[in-house]
Amino acid sequence: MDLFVTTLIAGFVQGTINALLGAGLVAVYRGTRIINFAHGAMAMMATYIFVTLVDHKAPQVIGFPLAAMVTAVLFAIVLGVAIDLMVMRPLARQSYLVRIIATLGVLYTLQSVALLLWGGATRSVKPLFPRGGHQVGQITVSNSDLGVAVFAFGIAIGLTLFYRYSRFGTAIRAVSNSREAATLVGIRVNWVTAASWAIGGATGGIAGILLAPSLALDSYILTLLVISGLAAALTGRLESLGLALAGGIGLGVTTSLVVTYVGEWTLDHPQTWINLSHLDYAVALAWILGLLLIWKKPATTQQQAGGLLL
Amino acid sequence: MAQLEVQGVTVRFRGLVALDDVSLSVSHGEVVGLIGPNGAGKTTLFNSITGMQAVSAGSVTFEERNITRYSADRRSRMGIARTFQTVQLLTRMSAFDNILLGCQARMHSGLFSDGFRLPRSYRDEVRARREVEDVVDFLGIAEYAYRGVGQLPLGIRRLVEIARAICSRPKLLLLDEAASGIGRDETGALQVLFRRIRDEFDLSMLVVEHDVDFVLGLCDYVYVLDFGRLIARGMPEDVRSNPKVITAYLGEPEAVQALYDEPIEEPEGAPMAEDAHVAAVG
Amino acid sequence: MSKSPFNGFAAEFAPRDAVDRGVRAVLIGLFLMVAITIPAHLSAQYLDLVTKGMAYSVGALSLVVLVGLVGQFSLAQAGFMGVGAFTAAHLVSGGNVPFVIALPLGGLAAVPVGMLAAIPALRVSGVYLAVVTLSFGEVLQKLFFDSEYNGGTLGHVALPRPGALQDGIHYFWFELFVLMALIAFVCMFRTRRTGRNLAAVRESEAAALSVGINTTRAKITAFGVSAFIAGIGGVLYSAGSGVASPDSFTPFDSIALLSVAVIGGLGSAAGAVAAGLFKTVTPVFIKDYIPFGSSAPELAGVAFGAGLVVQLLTAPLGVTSNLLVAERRLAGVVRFALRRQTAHPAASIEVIN
Repeated sequence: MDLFVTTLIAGFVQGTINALLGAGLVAVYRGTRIINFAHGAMAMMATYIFVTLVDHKAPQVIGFPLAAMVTAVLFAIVLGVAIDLMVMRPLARQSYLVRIIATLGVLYTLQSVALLLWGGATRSVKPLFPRGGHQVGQITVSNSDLGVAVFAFGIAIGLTLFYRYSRFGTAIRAVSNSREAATLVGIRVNWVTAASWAIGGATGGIAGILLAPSLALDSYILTLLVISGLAAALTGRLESLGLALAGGIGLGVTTSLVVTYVGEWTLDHPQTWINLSHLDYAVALAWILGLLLIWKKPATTQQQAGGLLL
Repeated sequence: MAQLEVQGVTVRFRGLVALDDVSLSVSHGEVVGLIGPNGAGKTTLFNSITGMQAVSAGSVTFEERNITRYSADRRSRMGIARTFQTVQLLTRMSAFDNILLGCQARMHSGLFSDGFRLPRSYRDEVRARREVEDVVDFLGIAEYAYRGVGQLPLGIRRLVEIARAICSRPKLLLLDEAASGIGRDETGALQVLFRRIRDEFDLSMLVVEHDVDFVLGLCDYVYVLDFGRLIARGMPEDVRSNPKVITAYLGEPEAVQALYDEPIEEPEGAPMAEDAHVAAVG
Repeated sequence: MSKSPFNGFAAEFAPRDAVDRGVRAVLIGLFLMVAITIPAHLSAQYLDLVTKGMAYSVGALSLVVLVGLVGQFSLAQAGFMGVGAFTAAHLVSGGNVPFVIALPLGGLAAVPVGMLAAIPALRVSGVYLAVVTLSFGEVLQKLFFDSEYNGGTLGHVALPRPGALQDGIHYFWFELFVLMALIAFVCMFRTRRTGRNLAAVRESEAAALSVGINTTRAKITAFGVSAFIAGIGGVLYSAGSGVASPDSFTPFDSIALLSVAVIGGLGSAAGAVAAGLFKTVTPVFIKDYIPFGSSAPELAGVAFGAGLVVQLLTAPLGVTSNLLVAERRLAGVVRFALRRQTAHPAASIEVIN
């Protein structure tokens, strides 16, 4: 029973990160209709900058490296806006596929830059939150888990509420429905787009920073976080932030359960042909496939024909 | 039993009823017209018959087989061919290659015979090309055959699409707005051509057309759709005088003109421009 | 309805008459002459790079088939390459199967995997397919290539070349032959029924269905062929270095492959050749001509990623589109020259009269 509860908690914590990543992807998608494959790479860059600043003794606030975090997130925001201005906006008239491939190009560039600047070695990261934990019944919840979950989930929920109730959220919805119509009613579409990228960058950066201590600082792993983020975002069809949050948590919990229990099983039944320690990737794939299976297949009409569009 | 039986077909899009309990039949060798104002559901009905739109209720029977659940490509192989309102051609290819597509389903060569250029691939290709040449000659579009489809005028592109459909040797040919994009003075010739196609290739036709006059002059039997419902059916003369039909079309001077068969004065020097007509339809 | 700009632009440049065909034959001949002779004079290190590049060309060809011919999209190509490589490696070093037999078997082993990846393509297209295949490639690499059977995370499986291909230049020539054979195969079926089926699915699924083309089958076929070619590419790549190792076939390798394939041009086989060339030449160029060339691989990665973006910004059809335009111009010049030659006698007769 203990194992089950701790697994659930670990899954929930991981899920909040997925949710935050998914929320960032949804934010970019709603503002720009682009699935940003470079989302994880942006998070990765922010995380590296954060760690570098911490290494160089950036000032702390009550033992929390706030300055480093703010700088790293600001960097991620600038990065997001730069991608929008330098890559996406010039490609605005290109086909959908071209723009998606461009985000892959950005991903690859950022990944290579990280390798160039910081090397390929994996390193561990100091925990963000003070050691120790809280005893709840028979279960100990570590400060780190609690901090990550509260932070990530708080931001994700805040973002959801912001999108639902603020003027900006309304503007986003208008742009999402029709860029032309939004322009006509006086919404500055370009600003909305840039803001979406900024929000994407910021949430991604925070997710990376929160996750790095429990994961490891590895440009490869962090960049591919985009997959779990996408799995979460696809739960809400890339449109609904609420569903993306639920999807992120669901994916986290499922992954945690599968990994733990299959891990227990492999202790007795070692497998050589498959590396089950990486089962989390398979869970994400299964999640995505499951979603695509549930979705209704659109009818083949004349408008939808033509291959590479959505 | 007729060749094509559509019974009680209903199509709903998220609460919006595009087709409401529509029944229709086409007998062998018949030319049946389907008219109705814009948005009446004509193309949706075509999509339901050809399998590109799933029906919410009702059934489609072709040659005594219930094909309601058949996939679109299977229906085509059974002998239902169609053209599209917005022409669906492969713009980067020549007209000839586009028409060749019609023969694809009856060809036998596969990946290996094509990839290694085995005799089977060669035989298939030669036979298909000969068939296409025949059809191209029959339709009189030989001079356009080797041009890129993208550069051809809309009227010719529609003929290319018809040629492609004919090449699949259909028993039933569905033509969606085939006369639009063709000059008004040529519609008479087009009527003759359609009848010749029916006789030469021994097929039935279901014709959707915006131009009421054209349909009434061409078809043996006519159905009228409005807001997804059949509002009238009958011989062309009966439909022409049907008050419901006149009401449905009122406000469209073109249609009223067709129905009353009285010429409406057009300003001198400003004939119904071909392009304007096309634009209105497309 | 906007269509992908990568799709089959080469169709516009398909040879139309004898002059076109002649020009193309001469250009291919020239390319082969260069490709066969030059590497023999390269140093061992450069030859190694060119050898890798050739394997990359095969990988890029698999993308040309998938994106260029059918308009589908995959970020799992490196995964398919890995399936081929590991299959062949186990066959050669574990089962003592001759390399030349293990090569096609490696390709064939990738086919069912590719078809499996095609299943989502039957329901979704474009960007969702990209998501699924990216994840699929990741699973292939992390769960299967990285397994103990293949030597664990930092391990590898030996894939020795047979004696006749030990010599670097011989192996290069062998690769060139395989690449040309695959290109020939693709070009052969592209202009026949199979190719037209694929083109119809790419340009208008509605049109394809309306003439009775089984679009499901066409997509699965394309994924199968693409995976086969990728598998062969994987075998060639690993045999070039002598080992099949998991870290050669990561999702990043898929993205790198896509990058060079887009830079080369996804619409034509020539684009695939150019892609391999890029993959090869860029690190060498950086190493020799850029000041801090010691980090050549990382810098090359930056160049590929940035190059991909720049290519999309300037000419999404890739560099080969320019080459094809140049080829057409050349054919125009030849045609003009020929016409003048034939026109001359006629003109002189007129003068005499």
